[in-house]
Amino acid sequence: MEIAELGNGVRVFMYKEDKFNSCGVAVLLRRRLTRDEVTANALLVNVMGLGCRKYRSPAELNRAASHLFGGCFGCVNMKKGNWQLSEFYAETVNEGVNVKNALKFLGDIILKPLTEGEGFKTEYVEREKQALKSIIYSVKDNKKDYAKRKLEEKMFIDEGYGIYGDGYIEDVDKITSEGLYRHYTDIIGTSAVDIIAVGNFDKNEFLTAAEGLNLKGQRTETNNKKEFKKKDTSYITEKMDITQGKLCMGIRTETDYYALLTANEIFGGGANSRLFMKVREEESLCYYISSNVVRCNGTVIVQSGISSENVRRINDIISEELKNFENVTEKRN
Amino acid sequence: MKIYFKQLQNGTKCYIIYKGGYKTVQAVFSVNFGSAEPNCIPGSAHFLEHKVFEQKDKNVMKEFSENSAEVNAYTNFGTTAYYFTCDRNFEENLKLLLDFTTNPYLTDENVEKEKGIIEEEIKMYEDDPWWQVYFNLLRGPYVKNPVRNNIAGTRQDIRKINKDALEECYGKYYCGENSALVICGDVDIDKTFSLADSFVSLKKGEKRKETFFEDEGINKSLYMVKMDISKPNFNLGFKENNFELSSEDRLCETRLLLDVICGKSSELYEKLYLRGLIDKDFSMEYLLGNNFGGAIISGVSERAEAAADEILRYAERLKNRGIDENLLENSRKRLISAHLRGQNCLNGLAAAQTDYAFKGLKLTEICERYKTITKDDIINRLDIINGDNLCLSIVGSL
Repeated sequence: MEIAELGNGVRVFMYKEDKFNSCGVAVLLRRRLTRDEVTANALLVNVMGLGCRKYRSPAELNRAASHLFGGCFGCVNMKKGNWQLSEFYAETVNEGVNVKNALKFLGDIILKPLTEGEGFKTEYVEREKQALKSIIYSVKDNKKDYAKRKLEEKMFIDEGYGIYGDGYIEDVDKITSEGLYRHYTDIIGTSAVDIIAVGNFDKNEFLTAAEGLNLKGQRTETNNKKEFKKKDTSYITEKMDITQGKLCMGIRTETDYYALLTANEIFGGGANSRLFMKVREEESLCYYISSNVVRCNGTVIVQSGISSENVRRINDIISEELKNFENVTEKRN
Repeated sequence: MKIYFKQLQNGTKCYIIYKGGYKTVQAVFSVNFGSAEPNCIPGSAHFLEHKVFEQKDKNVMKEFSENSAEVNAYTNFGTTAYYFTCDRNFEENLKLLLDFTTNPYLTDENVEKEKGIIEEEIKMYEDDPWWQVYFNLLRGPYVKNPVRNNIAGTRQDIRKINKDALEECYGKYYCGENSALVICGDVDIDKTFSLADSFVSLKKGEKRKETFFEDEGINKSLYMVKMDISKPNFNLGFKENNFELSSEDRLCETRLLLDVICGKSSELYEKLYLRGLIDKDFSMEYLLGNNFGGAIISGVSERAEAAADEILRYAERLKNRGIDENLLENSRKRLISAHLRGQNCLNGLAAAQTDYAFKGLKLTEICERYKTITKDDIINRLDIINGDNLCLSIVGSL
């Protein structure tokens, strides 16, 4: 992969690979995740995805994507660690001119949004406010995700990572189409901007096209690891009318990332892990149990679907398995 | 990408999908035995999938892990599949795959023990609104066809399953003629075929016969289930009645038709979305089975019935006014592009080829078929979208 920095502070990541049938292009606006603007950012990228000055509606945008570069596109809001990303992406089928067209198409969406008076098109803003509320409410529908969200809120209360990436209901209604447009003009010059291409394309051509977008990128510090204070284990329990209970456990660690990844693989990474072997294979207490590492803060998250009467037993097994890791460390030292 | 085929000495169909430059290889071994099998207790295929991993003298998970491979399995309506992915030790892993699927070690005790795990799996799906809405939909058009059963069966079903029942299924369906091996990645073709031929040890046997069911008309056109979720999910299905069409035609023509009607480039999609009749979670597919099938549109909506009405009305309009040439071409382009993009992913490719192996479809011909579909084909296919042929399944706090 090659990284180039453009004069305007924009970084371009180029991953040239000819084994794929298509080329992916993305423009990412990256901002620190904050409670103040998370909701507006989440709304904004979706409003922009409904239409721009040149392609004024979802059908026009999709037809253009097909016509101009034979592919698809999307505008999505994402939380990655302590960052919030607005991603504008397009995927093309292989043909030289397509990648340039795709980038130009994304440029139209990002830099020439559809406006009405002093704001975005009101119909689109109102529609996306409804859609965003549905997304926020729907977190409760997937109980596994919901348990994880509750855990993150509690564990990372003082850090960006504890903020819900889709925003907050109470903030959605306050946003007007004018206010959202002002927010847009604020962030368009003050976000870190990354442009990415993966697939078969001409590097120089792509760089020229990226430069031609005239985006402004703000440099930001990427290392924002926060110290945390050791706390006693806390428990959150919520009752719901469901068939299977969901367990989610977070364990903070301070260790080398790659060592942690390896340890996690042994602990709960796959079907050969300690947790899977013990809880599922030996005791038939669950169908799934696994753990994974949150990259930005080194927390290990264990998730399992269980019968409520087995909570204590499973909790004990997880703790025992964790203790085994402490012993490993001691022996090595 | 190129696909090579060879029938192995025991009858197993072997496909190699060559993907130059890919660093990992995936191999899928499958049998044509899934949840829609009429002659056994519902949930048997899936139960057996769990137990095939059980071996007398080795731990399959551990061995794959030691060979740097990940192994897993799935059961769908017509297939049970076992697969691994690795970036090294391909030969050992292939040998292990073909070996463990030939030598399951079943005991009364280990079959009993599995029931706790499968019960938890069933409970997980009972709480999953997307899963529920889909399987309720399949109960709509069918009374006899076992495609209406849950993949894992019900909790009552699995209590009835024992070692003998599983061994009977294994003996009947796990045989060369009823199996396929798909290998996908940057491998040497001749060498891989000869490895597969030397490792394969499943006995020869009889090819499973397809049973056809007389399920005329629609059993239940509206299926509503209450569940405490924020917004109802719906699946709108249109039952396939034309089994004279080839699998390829059913699949490709219906997909193209669905994109013309309510794909992202369509007028109707835009209208439904902007009026709030559907949300961004919205998709269409053609469910392809040898003895069942249908067009399925799924989404999230407070007014699923109104959305279904709009779709029916729009299809009616197309029947009367015909289909705009430009929009048809746009949809055709979108489908071909999506098909080509889908081929970037080894997982998807291997799963598609595994599925097609038992349905008489050729992966390499899908694109060609998209290219040759005519406007008349689409107009004819429009027959499937009609009110007498419809099932609507909704799950939510109604």
